[in-house]
This record gives sequence, structure tokens and C-alpha cells, in this order.
Amino acid sequence: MIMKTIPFILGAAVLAQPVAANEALDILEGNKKVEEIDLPPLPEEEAEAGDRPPVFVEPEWAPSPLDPVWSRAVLFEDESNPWIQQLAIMGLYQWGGSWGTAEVEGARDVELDTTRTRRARLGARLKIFGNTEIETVGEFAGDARYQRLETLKGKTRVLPNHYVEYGKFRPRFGIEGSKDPSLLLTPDTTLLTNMLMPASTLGVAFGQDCAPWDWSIGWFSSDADRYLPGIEGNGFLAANLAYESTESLEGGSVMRTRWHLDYIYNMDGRRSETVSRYRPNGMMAANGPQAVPSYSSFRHLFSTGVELEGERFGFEGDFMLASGDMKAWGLTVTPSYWAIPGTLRVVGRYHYADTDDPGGLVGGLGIGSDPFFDSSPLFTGDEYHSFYLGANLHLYQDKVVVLNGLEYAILKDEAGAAFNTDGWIWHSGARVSF
Amino acid sequence: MKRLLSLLAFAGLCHGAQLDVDGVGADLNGWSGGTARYSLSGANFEVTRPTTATDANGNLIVTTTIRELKRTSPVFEGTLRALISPDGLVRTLSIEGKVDGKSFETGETTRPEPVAPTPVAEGEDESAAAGSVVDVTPVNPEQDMRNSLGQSLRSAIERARASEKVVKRDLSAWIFSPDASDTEVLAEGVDAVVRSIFRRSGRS
Repeated sequence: MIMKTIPFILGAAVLAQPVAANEALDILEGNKKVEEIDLPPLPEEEAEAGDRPPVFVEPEWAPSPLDPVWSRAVLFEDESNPWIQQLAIMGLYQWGGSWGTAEVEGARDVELDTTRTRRARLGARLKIFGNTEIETVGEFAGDARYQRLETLKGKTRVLPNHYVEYGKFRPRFGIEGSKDPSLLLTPDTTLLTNMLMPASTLGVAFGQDCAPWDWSIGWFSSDADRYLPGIEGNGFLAANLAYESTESLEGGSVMRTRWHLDYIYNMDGRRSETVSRYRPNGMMAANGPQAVPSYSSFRHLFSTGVELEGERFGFEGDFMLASGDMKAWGLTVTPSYWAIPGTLRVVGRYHYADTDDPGGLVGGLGIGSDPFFDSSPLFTGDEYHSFYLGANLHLYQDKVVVLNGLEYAILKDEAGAAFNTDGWIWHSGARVSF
Repeated sequence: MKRLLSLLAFAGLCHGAQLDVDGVGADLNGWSGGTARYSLSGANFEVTRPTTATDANGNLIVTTTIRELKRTSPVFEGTLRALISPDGLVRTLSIEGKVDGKSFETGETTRPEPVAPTPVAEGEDESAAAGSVVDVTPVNPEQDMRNSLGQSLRSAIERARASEKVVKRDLSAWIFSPDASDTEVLAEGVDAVVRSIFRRSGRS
């Protein structure tokens, strides 16, 4: 039976080939059109390959003579070593300046011309036992309150795709707040991010990377000690959920899309030192003779947004909402485009923040936009708009970057004392990291 | 007697492929700190000391990386992988790497096998079959492999260079890292290593 079947199958296969060949000849001779031909189905594997989602491959960096210099930051690396796989030093130096004037309605203008070392960080990374990464980073810039042990954390992979993070670190919240400062596209983070971003503190988080989804949930202390925080109060819970996908664009390029939802529940309310990071109680505002309203705490903090990344084009859009003693909300939209891939990146950013409470928004302008950093002039209001357009010149990958840009900021104070403020600010800065 | 036979059998099993790594270095101006440097057609190349591993079938897998250096920056980098069978013959060759930041891959070049003479089918005119010329063995399989690999490499490099894939080139790369040499020169630089591997491979 089998011996009879095999020649039949082989015969059918042989006969099928000439049919296709004849049709190909008919097309070439013009006797038939392509649409008239019923093409045989693709072999199973090829058909499956067509259904596979496209893969986004981040454009690679061309070789540079600085590669061997930067590779010296890795002091030891041996993936086959069962005890220590890597020892590397990490650093970030960011200098910046801003020049402009904040024009205040009904009060004296505020000069924003200043330069300073914004970040000076040094640390180390250790990979051990094939599943654990320990990272420690110290911050040496700014005033005494700002200088601190920024990170001292471990990350251990416990199951396939599962991990535990523990130690002193900042939970992820929002796109800007979750990003390493050495990768920020703009000179600094926005007003609402600075207001809502929790402090780096003692915590433990459990998470899973199961593409296309990833999630994590963690508990963090309310103690904001500069060096080693302890367990204080009930702390806060942080939960993160993200979904990543890719899609093909016209021309064959691929774009990566990442959506995220971050949530923080602050169980200590006003007693928390970590949500938010700073308390401007008793300080005077720079826009008009008015005191900064007493500190308002947030209980629930949400952030959701999307990041798009193509070969040249990038986009970040993030919406944030916080409620507690008061409500504050806003969004940040940051498009970017590599005008010269790898060298010149044009960056735009629009930031909007709003609240119903008089003087509910508190922040700085210019290089001192993060009040946690130092005692730069503080501005208060209830509606904020910032338009930024800049160009980043990459001298070496993302490691040596010169940032320049122009910002127009409007801080409305309609619900308060009506000291509306606006100003044009020029930003220049440079960043070196390894 | 049995013991002697076992020893002989073991000795027979110990025979396998080998590569004279020092010899490869000697062909390319000698090893210095794990690499050897040589110049061809005005281009400067660097090759890493080959690493070897034996697979379950007794084949020796040789891996080495060839780079073209321009102002200390590797503008071309290709990792050559050769498989040497236990009889000491190079069986397959392949290269993958980057040229001017764009990835390329040659696919595998295999050693041409001798073609067995076609048996005369029953009833076929034997005189007609005898009249046809059958090329039983390739004239030079190693040369064929080198030619074939060279052709694949040229084609892969050209494809990579022509691709519209975006490569990020920072200012330091614009200033200090010029493009890699012509495809012909790169193929020539790789061929120098391939030639040496053919020359220095054999049976222990």
C-alpha cells in the first residue's frame, strides 16, 4: 500500500511544478495576467514568518575612537565567572546654565541668569552570581540637602523573567521620572514631574518581564534620609504596568511603542517625606510678595502615557494626575527627531500643569527648575505652560552631549494673587556620563 | 593483546583536527598581545588570536575576528568561523560583522564534495554515457571555497552599504572615523586570514 502511495505523491508533486512553470511562461508571454493565476499557498514556515511581528532594532552607533576610552569604565567582565560577572564604575556630570527674565505682572521681574553643576554622580555596578546586579550611586552636586546617596540597590532574578529589587532606589513614576538623568532629552525635568516624583528611598519591588507585558509592584518607606533611610510610617505602594509592541512603517522601518500606567498610593499622607520630595513651607515666592502656600500632600498619583521610537523619530507623551489635599494634573509631550542621526537631535517639549487650588503649583524656572535641587527662586501659580525647542549635539553617543534650547514659560496665578509670570529662557548645558 | 588493541583504538580516537595558531600568527606578522596586525593595499588590519572548540563530532570550530583599523577605530569588523573536520579539512566558512556600523552576514560556504560518477542506467547506451565528460573531483576545493567566500563577502558588504538602515554616527565618529576601505580591499584583508587557516589546518 505504502509503495503504491509514494509514487502517486511524487507524481503529483512533479506534475504540479510544470503547471506553475507554464503559468509563469504565460505571464511572460503576455497570455495571462498575474491576477488570473492562483498561486499555491506558501509553505507553512514561510506563512508563519509573514505573521511574525516586526522587530525593532535600535540603530547602532558607528565606531568611534572614543569607544576604547569609555570601555575602560568596565573594570572587569567575565560572563563565564560563576561569582563575579562584571564590575564597572558609573558617573554623570551635568553642567548647565540658563539666561532669561521672568516678567511678573504687578511685581518686580526676576532675573534667571545663572550657571551651575546640576548633577555630579559617581557610582559602581557589580554583577554577581549570574542573577544579581548591585548598583550604588552618590550625588555630589547641589547644596547639602541635595548631596546624598542616590541609589544603593540590588536586583535579583528569582524565576525566569521575574525579579526582586531591594535597597534604596526611586520607584518608576512617569516617563521623565523613570528615566536615567543621563538620557534626558531636555536640560531638566518638568514642573509637574518635579512636584510628583517620589524620592529615592528604602523599598522592595517584585516584577515580571513577560513580553509584551511587564509589571511590578513594590512598597517604599516614607523616610527620606539622605544616606540610608529606614522604615518609617506605613510608606507608599507603587505599581507599574506596561505594554510594548512594534509595527512596520512605510519604507520598511519599524517603530517601537510602549504604553505605561504607573500608580502610587501614599499611605502616610502629609507625614510622608518621600511623596512629594520637597516641602516649600514658609518660603517666599519670587513672583510677587506672596508666601508659598503650605504644603499639600498627595494620596493617589497616576501616570499614563506612551513612548514611540523609530529610527529617527521619537515621541513621549505622558499624562499625570495627583489627588489628596489638592488635585494637580498635567501632560508632557516630547517629540524628537534625529536631523543628523547620531549627531544632532532636535527636541521639542510642551508641558502643561494645572490645579484648582490657588498657588497649588510650585516650581522653579530655568536651570533651577527642580526645587529639590537647591533654593533657587520659587514661583507659584495655578496653571503652567512651557514650550521648549532645542538641539542636542552628541559628541560621543549619548555619553557626551551638548544641549541648547529656548523655552517660553507661562505661569498663571489667576486663582491666587494674580502675579502672572512669563519669560523667555535660553538653556545651554553639557553632560558627560559613563 | 586486548589491552594493546584498546590503546591503539584510543590512540586512533585521539587523532583529530588541529590548527597551528602560532603558524597563523607567523603568517600575519606574529601575535602581539592576542592580536596580529598586517597591511594590505594600504589598509591596516588586525586579527584576534583564533579560539578553538571541538564539537561532539570531533570537528574543530575556529573563531577569529578581523578588523580594519582607521585612526585606531575599527571601521570594519568581521568574525570568521571555520569548521575543520577530524580529517583536517576545512569544511565550512562563514563571516558576520559590521561595516561602517551596518551589519552583514555571508551565510555558510561549504567545501565542494567530489562528484561521484553517474551509474549507467539499465538499457542506456553505454557508449553515449562514456562519451560525456564527468568532473569527478574539483581541481582545488580550497581555492573554490576561498573564491566562494570572497564572493559572498563582497556581496554581503555591498548589500549592507546599500541598505537604508540608519546608523547613528556621533560627532567624534564624523571627525575621527572615516568609512571602511573599498569592498575589494576588505575582502582581500579577510582572505589573508582564510588562506592562513587553510594552510595551517590539518590532522594531529
